Amino acid sequence: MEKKIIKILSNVLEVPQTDLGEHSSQVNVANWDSLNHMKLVVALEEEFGVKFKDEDILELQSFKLIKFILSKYLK
Amino acid sequence: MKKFDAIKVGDRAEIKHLITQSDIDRFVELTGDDNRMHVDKEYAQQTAYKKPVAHGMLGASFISTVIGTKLPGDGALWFAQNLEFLLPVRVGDTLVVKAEVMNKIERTETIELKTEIFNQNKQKVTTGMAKVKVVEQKKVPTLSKSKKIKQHVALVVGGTGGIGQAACLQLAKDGFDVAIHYCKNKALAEEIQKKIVAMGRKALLVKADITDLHQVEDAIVKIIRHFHVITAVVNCATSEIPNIKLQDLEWNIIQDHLDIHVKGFFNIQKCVVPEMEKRGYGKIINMTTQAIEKPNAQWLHYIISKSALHGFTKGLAIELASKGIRVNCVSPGMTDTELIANIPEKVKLLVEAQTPLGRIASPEDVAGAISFLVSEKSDFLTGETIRVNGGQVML
Repeated sequence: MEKKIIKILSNVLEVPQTDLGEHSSQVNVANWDSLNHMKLVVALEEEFGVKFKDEDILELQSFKLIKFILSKYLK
Repeated sequence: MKKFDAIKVGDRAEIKHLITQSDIDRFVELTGDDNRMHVDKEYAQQTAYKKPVAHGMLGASFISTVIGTKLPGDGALWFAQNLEFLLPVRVGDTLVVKAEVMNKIERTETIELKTEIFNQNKQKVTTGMAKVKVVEQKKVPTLSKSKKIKQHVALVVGGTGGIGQAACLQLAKDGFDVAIHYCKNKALAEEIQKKIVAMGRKALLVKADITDLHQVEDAIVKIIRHFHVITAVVNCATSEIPNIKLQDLEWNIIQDHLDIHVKGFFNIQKCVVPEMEKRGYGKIINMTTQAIEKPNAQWLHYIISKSALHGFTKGLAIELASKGIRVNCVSPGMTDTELIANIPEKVKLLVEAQTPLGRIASPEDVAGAISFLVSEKSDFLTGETIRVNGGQVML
């Protein structure tokens, strides 16, 4: 799951995978603005076959939170 | 000045003590006086007193404490005492033991003290007069200036909390001897004491409810008697922070937080500042919180009391600047201590996500800022706040 999340973040935010890791979040990844955030939500939903609730969409603010919230959907 | 010369007729001192069953048991064990009037409820029931009475000399023994630790304190040689026991003392009574200098005899360097004990109803239970010789300490050869040891002693209030522990250990590493204050967790305080001693520093445990001025006074007297000086105070005292919705918030909850953070600090500074003033130098550091500047919902009680402490710090900094005492704050963001044990994992991750440095603070991060503020490197800072929040709040 972690590799897939990094790949999606890299593709959507146009940041090299080597610059991303478990500490990546909206405050330290340059292109993670509101528009790209929605693209990221769509890409994650497609890749993992889930449909995020509205409150979860707002909270997908970092690599760790994406992993944490996705794991609830994938149980 | 000689200690005897500094004592004036009219000087007073007092201590407070709650008489417990444990006191009676220990007195019996020590003296062997197991008179049934003191230890046997059924026996006492059949007398005019109806309930067991504490040993008169148990209460009177606290006169020794006042004389030996406060007036005149170290060097007191108590050589005469008369006593009259006026009323019975029982378990649960809070005794206030008072001493007042009535006379000074220059030739023999002795003082005469009126010694009285009152109960919580302000009834005098014991009265008497004491005679005490004030023995001066022999002068030891003064160290040459180059060899003069500058002793650094820090009091860490709330020394058994997460940040308090880290502060104690960091200060010991920085060369401080440490007075570890605790309220309940003696076992943990002893563990920290052992670690500090293993680091080659001295450590003293002091127990006090900081909302009680008498207990704080006793704690500071103990530290001064042990170390002779306090050069820094790090106030880490806090209580649990439950989430409380506005509609459920009662004033007594806010009052409890104000008591710990504001009244507690008021009592501490009241006792410590005169000691720092004597040396014209001191460092006082209060822990505030990022929540003052970036408030959390349902933490109104905590935010109110910590905001008050922040204002108190700045006001005190102005008052004490001319006396060489610096008063500053450390304002941590969410810190990985027991205080946040009940916060959901997702909330911690959200805080991490909003932190430019990508994690929540560790107690050691906070201790690092404390270390700077107690050091001479920060001597030109007062009324300042160092934010330890990984960049979450920048002002």
